Amino acid sequence: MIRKKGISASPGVAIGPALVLDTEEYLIPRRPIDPAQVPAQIQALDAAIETARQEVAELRASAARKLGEKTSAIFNYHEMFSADPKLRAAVVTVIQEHHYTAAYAFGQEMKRQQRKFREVVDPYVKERVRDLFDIERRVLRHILGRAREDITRLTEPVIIVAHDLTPSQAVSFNREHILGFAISVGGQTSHTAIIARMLGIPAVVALGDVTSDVTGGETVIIDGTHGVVVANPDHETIEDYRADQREYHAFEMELAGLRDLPAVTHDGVTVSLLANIELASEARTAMELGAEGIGLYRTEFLFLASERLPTEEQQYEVFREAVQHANSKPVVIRTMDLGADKMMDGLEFQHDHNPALGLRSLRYCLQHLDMFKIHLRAILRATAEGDVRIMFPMIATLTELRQAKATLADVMEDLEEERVPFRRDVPIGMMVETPAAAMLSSVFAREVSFLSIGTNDLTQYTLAVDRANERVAHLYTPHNPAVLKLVREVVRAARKGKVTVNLCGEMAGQPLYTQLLLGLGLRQLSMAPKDVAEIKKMVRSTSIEDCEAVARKVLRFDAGRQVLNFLRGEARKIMPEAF
Amino acid sequence: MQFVDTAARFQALVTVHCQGRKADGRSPMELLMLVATQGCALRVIVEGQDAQEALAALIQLIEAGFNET
Repeated sequence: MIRKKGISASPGVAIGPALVLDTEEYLIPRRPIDPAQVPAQIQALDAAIETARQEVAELRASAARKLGEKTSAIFNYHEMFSADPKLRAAVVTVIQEHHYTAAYAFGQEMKRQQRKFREVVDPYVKERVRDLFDIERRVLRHILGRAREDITRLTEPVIIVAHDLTPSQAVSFNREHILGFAISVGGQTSHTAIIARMLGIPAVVALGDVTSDVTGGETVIIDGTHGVVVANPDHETIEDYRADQREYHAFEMELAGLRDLPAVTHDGVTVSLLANIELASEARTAMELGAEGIGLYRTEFLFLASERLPTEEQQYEVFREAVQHANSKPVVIRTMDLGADKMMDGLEFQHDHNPALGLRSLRYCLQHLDMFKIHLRAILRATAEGDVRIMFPMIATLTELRQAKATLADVMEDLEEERVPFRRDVPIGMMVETPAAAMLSSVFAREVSFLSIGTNDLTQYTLAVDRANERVAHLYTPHNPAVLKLVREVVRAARKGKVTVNLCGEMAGQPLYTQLLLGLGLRQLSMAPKDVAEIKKMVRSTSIEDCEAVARKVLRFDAGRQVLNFLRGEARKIMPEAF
Repeated sequence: MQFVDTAARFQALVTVHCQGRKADGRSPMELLMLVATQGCALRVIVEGQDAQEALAALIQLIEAGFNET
């Protein structure tokens, strides 16, 4: 049994067989065999080992011819290890005693040897583990022959274990058969995490080298809530986690019951709960989970998921799909916010010394008008399909906003000339995520129809903390009094300027902050679809009067810690089971 | 590894000891795990039918000097 700790990417517990994705994507079934098949499996093992050994011998000979004897010696260990009699004997024992297939037994034994090698201190020896990886792949290829299973055609529910998943891989899986994800790299905002949350399945990322610790077919437990993965768990551990699963499921069922109920406080104030989405298909999930609209459609994913710049047609198709899924509910499309951590190859990109403060997002767009106009054309065309609104990210100055609006106006003129249908009076809004925008929000409120407070970046810029930098990430606190003051400022400015305001940062989806946000005057919150039910529960469990009292108290604190402790206490009163 | 090749030619059981650990002389993986870096005193124990010949062959190999890195 191996227990690994990573970062919690999507909550819940999953227990099931692992499908380990290495570069060749083998699915190794752990199906027990009939004892009568043992000799045949041993034969298959020997045949595969012999073929692999011959392959390497040939490789070595060829390397000797092309590169000389000395270089070809790098294959020495490879060849020797393949023919190691003790290795073979160990695998045969596993086949005989446990009645596993040759492939599964071999894979298991190789993983065991790899673990041993990696524990050795001597770096030279440690390096040889790579030969073991190669041998494993080579021999398995021969044992499995042409029976490589296509990962997109899964037939039973599995837990995906991989080093990383590309966006296209992550979306190509047949979701019915995915129980969870265990990924070696990544963070809470990586696309695997986002997709897992959208699918509502448990996921743990940043596990370090997880693919070496798990054998295909082995049972794996994913504890997405705590960021823990257990490979080959013992019986007791499985039982403990099954109990956790049941509890979590019961909680989910309770939340599901709230789906059709309105988000109204005790004192009759309605709160609009909207969803943040990355993919067009999420719009449908969001509606199903009770969201009243899409408060933030992040368009960058579309650019990240393809290798080349998506064409106007491609973008338009995706936006149209999202709007249709939203079923006449409002959809706020944010223009692309690429940059810093999210750059892609298709775009011309020079490394900024300070990416978060550099040429990113709207600034990048304003300096690459060709690309920006195509993007805007696609969005504008989508306005003819439903209730679409447009939002600009990362505004810090009035000039930027005006330039963006002017570019939009240009594109509108083009479309009119071409007689392409779109909505001329489409509501235009902006993200308030820079301190500058927050402080001058009353000025900005005169030039847009709505404001959307992006506390993720606002917190970063206000506290001057890079949340992706694990050395300072602990300083990133959205409940810091400075950030809260800015939020209050924006809400006030919106009220005075008679424009709508919502909050779309992560805070919106965390029940801990709901009372505070409502108390500060917010009546619209946009969050991950999965969080809608829980926030709705908070809304229905409190009154605006109480919320305003909470906010008043919070605004008198000097330190984030005081805010946090106080909010925890208040939240516990209403929803003890979640805190 | 010539050591393994040589040992494999005989029926005898070959065990290599180094700093309290041991390895089967015919298993390259076990030998490597033994981490016999240069200068480490190796003790080779040979048992079985053709033990004498096996030992002789191994000694010859060692004295001829491996070019193991």
